[in-house]
Amino acid sequence: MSAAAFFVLAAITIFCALWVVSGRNLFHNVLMLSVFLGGIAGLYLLAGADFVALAQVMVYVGGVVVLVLFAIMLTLEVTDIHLTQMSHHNVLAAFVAVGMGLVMTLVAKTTPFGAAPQGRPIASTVAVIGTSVTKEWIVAFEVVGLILLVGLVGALLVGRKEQP
Amino acid sequence: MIPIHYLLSLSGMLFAIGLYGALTRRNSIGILMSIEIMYNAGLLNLIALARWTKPTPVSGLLGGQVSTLFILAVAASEVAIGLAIIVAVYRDFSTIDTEKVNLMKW
Repeated sequence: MSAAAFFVLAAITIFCALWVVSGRNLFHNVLMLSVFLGGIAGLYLLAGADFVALAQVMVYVGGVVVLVLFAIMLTLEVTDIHLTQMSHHNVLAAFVAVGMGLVMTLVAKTTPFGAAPQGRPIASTVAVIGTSVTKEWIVAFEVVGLILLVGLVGALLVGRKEQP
Repeated sequence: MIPIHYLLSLSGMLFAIGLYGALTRRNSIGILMSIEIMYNAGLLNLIALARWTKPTPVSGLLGGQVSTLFILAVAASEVAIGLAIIVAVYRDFSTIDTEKVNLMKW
């Protein structure tokens, strides 16, 4: 049953990713990106990460996609919406990408991972994540807060209008 | 449960698709979206391998998931800054086509 769910989610994510990188209409690309992020959240659920899946939906689909839509609206040109051209390096980029994908798939297939360490996944990860964020990873937690603050101030500074 | 190399090869393929998009798109926001695909492929890798790492005393086998939360936050802030830069570039050049913003090309 989980194999069927995995293949459905894998098909959805690969289809949406292919649309995002080669679509013509910019708005359609952004909507396909949000479906892609939802598919990734489903794969997180399949791998036993329930809190991370919900955080992914809230942060990425609810935050990042909305931000990208704002930026598209602010930087829209008249000829841009129906024809997003490709650059001239299509073949070389496709060669590089296909080669890299093949190498990574082969590495994943032929590495001897052994059996899974635990039979039953953890029931609810929220309590353990909360404890570990405040006890073991507390320094990283504070540093990420600092990064977010610096990012906020930086984005405001870069994006504001020039004072005449 | 599914074998681990299913998730890892899927994340490799998604990374390759994102890489193709980051190399070929002409629109800067399209490049940012492809970079987001690459980010998510890497995070999928982290989550899939979370149970294979050595268990730590406090977080048990969930170290990969906690790292994923942090990287998620950093990636979201990076997208925000990138979009602010794109808006600033649009204000100066009135285009975000990467073939046209070429003042530093010689």
